[in-house]
Amino acid sequence: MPADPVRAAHECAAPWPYKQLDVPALRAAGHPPKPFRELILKVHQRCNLACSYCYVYEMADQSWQDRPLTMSDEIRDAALSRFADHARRHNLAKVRIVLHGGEPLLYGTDRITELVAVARRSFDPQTQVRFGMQTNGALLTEQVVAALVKHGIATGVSLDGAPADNDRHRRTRDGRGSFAAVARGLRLLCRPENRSAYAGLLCTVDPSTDPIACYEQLLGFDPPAIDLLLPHANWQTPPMRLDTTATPYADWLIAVFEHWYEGGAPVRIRLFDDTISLVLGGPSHSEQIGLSPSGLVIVESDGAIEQVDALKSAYAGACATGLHVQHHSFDDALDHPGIVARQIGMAALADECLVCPAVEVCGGGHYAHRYRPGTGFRAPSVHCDDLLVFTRHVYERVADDLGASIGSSK
Amino acid sequence: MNVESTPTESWAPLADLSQEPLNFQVSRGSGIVEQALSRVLHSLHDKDGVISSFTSFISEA
Repeated sequence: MPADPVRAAHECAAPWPYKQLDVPALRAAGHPPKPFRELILKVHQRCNLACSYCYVYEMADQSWQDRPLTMSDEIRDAALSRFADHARRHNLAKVRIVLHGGEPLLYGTDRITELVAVARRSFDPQTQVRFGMQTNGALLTEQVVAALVKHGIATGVSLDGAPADNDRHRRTRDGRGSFAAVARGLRLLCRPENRSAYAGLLCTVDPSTDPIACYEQLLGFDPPAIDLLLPHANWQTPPMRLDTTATPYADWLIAVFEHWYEGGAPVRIRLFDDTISLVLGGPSHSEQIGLSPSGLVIVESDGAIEQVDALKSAYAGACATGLHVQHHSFDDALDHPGIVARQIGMAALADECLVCPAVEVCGGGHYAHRYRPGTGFRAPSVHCDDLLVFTRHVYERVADDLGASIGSSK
Repeated sequence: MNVESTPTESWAPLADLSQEPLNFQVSRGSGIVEQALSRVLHSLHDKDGVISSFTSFISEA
């Protein structure tokens, strides 16, 4: 066993990639590291909501309990300085900094304002720095939204559809639903003078809900974009299933897809856009589907440099790299096996995936959803059956559309 | 542009824009597919094509 306790925990929980991935051999075989273009800052460790499915608080990793409540100014400055160095070293023309938590608005608008100012000073002029935030939306007030607009922070809001459906999972600690508060915040973002701060809505799929009612509810908030997220799950903690169908998530997604497609796609839905792009031979830009390399890194409130936080759903310490912004560069993180595994496309996939006809489209699904104890992350997605049915539907729909058009033009 | 109209065993990509110039005028499929093809064309010329987090954000491509 290695002396490094972080590495030892990884090797025990996830033999692939931590025992079996040969990073030097991969580099020699022509898999260069891809620089990070997105930094996610965990500026606050607590949340004003207690959502039932939250991967930060309700799943395997409980490291939030041991970290500082908020990110100190010293850690903030070190993280931003490291990211600016990284951008300089790799000549990055564009980067993005995303504020996250916990609930990032608990960090306070004054500190958010200061963070943006420090970030803008840290980067060279040739690097365009964009800012984003993913919030539950319940703390959006006129003053907060005005600050987001002023500082150019594109804000994504989590909402799970119709009031009763949303409030079943997205509640306060005392059990009250969050829909009404979030709706107030979204109405502020919808105002013309605030639209520049409105990035979109993020909805976690619950197959027991009415998909069209959910979609129409989201559309009612006039979002620039929507994304639909399969719930975080893995082979140890599988997703909820229904007795009535073998592929409830695919059925739900297909219902929304058809309604959206037939309606002329009035809003961009990232999962759908990416799936269509993939069947047309293009790339994906999301973690849920496709084989594009990951270009993101996380800094926790204590300064730990970590992998994508959805891995908290897999096992305790699954996000850890053992690196820290006050002692290590982001380039150091590029050779961490967990980071490498997210940048090598097909080479990270299970044997079952490699012989699947859908592999170029599905890409093995979300990395966090592949986790299987005893194996690690080289396994098919726990959502595999649903992904196959959904992607096949999109493939055939687009093929029909292209074929019909070609035929009609002859 | 080479377009295959039926799925194959290996789910081959339905279009091949890899040899087309960035200003190629896409005129295939419905408005949705046409827009998607246009995005694919631009993404093939985008060195920064990596996945990002928090999926309510959309690529500018």
